[in-house]
Amino acid sequence: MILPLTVLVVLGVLFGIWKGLGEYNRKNEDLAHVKADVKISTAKLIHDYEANDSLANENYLGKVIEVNGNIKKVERDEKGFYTVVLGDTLVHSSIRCSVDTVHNADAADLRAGSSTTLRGACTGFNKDDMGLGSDVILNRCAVIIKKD
Amino acid sequence: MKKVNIVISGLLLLASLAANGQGKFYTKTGRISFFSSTPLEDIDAINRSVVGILDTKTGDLQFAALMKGFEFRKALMQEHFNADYVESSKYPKAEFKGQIANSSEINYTTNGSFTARVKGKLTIHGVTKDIEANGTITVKDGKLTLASTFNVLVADYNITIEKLYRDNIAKTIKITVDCTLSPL
Repeated sequence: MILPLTVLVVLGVLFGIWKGLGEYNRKNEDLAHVKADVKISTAKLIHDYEANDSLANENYLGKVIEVNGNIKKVERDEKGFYTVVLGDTLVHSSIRCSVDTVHNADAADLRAGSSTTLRGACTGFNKDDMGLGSDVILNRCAVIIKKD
Repeated sequence: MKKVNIVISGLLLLASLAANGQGKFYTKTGRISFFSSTPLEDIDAINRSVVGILDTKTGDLQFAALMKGFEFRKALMQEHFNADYVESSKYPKAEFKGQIANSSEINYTTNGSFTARVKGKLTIHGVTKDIEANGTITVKDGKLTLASTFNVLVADYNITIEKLYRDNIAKTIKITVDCTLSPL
């Protein structure tokens, strides 16, 4: 009886270590495979942040947002990272979606003027404090739907 | 007459380019990273959505980084960073407002590399502190790349690390700025 109990305790400890190490080393998930907390249009997300950014933060900050809308432009920086800028070209405000590098090929296919649906983690709102326009920022974005 | 018009157009174009070089430059894809090193582990994180603007006429320099925009290799570290240390829901943004003290010595219109002395106020976790740092401004084909590395003390910004993790997180954090600014 003692032996099986010892085995059980050792197995329990090993399981705990295994779970702990798994949690400690857990990576950020690819958001292409994560259910969105909120599905919203570009215009509505920008409107909500511009109307009341504190309230919008309560609803969106840190959440996985699936947003659809018009592509203003697709930027590729000097290190190869893509940012898809969504919004109305006549409006200064935008949603800036930093693309997860595993989805770079999808981002490279996107074209300004077409519409798309992206899923990303909302990291907040940059108010127009510097005269550069205000932006809602989504990180680790995955391209969910491409449309021409 | 045609030649005179071409010369005038050329001069106007040069004047406009020169004026451009002496105006405002900005980025919305600037990079700021930080690095903590202890015998137990190294921790680094990067934010690639930093907003910044430099007025080359006055030397005024401003950056803003959303705290939730810092990405870590490990999700658990990112969660602790946001929830327990910088409290990013309460203090969503880090900001720097200052000046390039020797801006008048920098030729923003010619390709080259210049040493910049930056002074200003850095706000993290709702606490504002004066900082000074040296950096480099590289002018290349009408764009400016700002690079700087400096240290901040975690305790200066009222960031408390739980006892359990005190040996894992350095008391001094190295911050690296790497931003390419385009003409506004």
